[in-house]
Amino acid sequence: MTTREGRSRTPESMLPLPPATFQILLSLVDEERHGYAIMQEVAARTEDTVRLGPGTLYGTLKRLLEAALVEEAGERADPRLGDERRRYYSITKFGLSVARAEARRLDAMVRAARRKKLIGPETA
Amino acid sequence: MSERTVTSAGPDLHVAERAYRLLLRAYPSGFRARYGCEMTLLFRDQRRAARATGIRFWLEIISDVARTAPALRAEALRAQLNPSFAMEEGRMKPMGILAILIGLVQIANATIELVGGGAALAAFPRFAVLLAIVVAVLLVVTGVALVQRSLRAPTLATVAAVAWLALVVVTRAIHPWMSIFTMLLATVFPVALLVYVWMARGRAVTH
Repeated sequence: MTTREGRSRTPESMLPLPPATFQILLSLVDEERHGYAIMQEVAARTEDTVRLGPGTLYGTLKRLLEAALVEEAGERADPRLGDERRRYYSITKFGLSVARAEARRLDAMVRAARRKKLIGPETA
Repeated sequence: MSERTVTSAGPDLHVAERAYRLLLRAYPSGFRARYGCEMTLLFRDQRRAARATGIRFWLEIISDVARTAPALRAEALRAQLNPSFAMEEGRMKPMGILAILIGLVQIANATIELVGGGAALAAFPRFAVLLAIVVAVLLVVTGVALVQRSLRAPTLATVAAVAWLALVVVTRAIHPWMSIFTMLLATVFPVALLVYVWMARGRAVTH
């Protein structure tokens, strides 16, 4: 892919992703969200083991926007949170490819750990 | 994106929000202008949540600022010192479009001259017209690169501007009666392009 800066990149060239970056991309995979909704989704999905502070969240979003992995998806109020207008973010096609590549990388690492019997077999 | 204002919070949130806005001063001004309001709104949401109160909450907030603000300040500083070209879309587009238009007009002009002159055109003027076409194509490519905010834009712009200046010299050699005013006029755009590119490098705030 060629970015708006004219640099040719592949999803693999962006790896490994910092944990907060991957968590944010993961939270945007199924729907576009505003900052607080991203924070809540990550906390709920990780059972509160990953808690993104405002600085971490927006610092990461800034980099994701610059790298064209995420894009702005307009402003509107979230009826669950009152009438304040919130800026929504969505994952781009390239962001999705990067998230997928990172998931594959992590999966390969977990499989390697399993082969070494570092962790138990997968429970379905 | 324009700076927004966060609508007024209840009186109980005011003190906390003021304190948080003070903490936000640790971030670079550009980041604050772009995300400050969203961060304040998010802070308000967290405060509204039942669990987000007390000393633990504030410790988490302060720790978050302490971890992220220095990194973002360092990033902003690096971006300022970074010689790579970070272009601001709103400012680069007009120059890009202008380069494309001038390039297209020059291609048309040179083609007419080449076809109109036909076999009667002497070798040296023919070379000048061909050079003009090359410069014009270069200008169009530069314009497209500027509009697309490509990293190659500054290099292309420099090459196009220098080629244009060379063309002015060649044209002057062919037409020694060319007035000073016309020569100045012919050099204005390439010089403006070079100055513009140089200034855009200086203004680079993101990378």
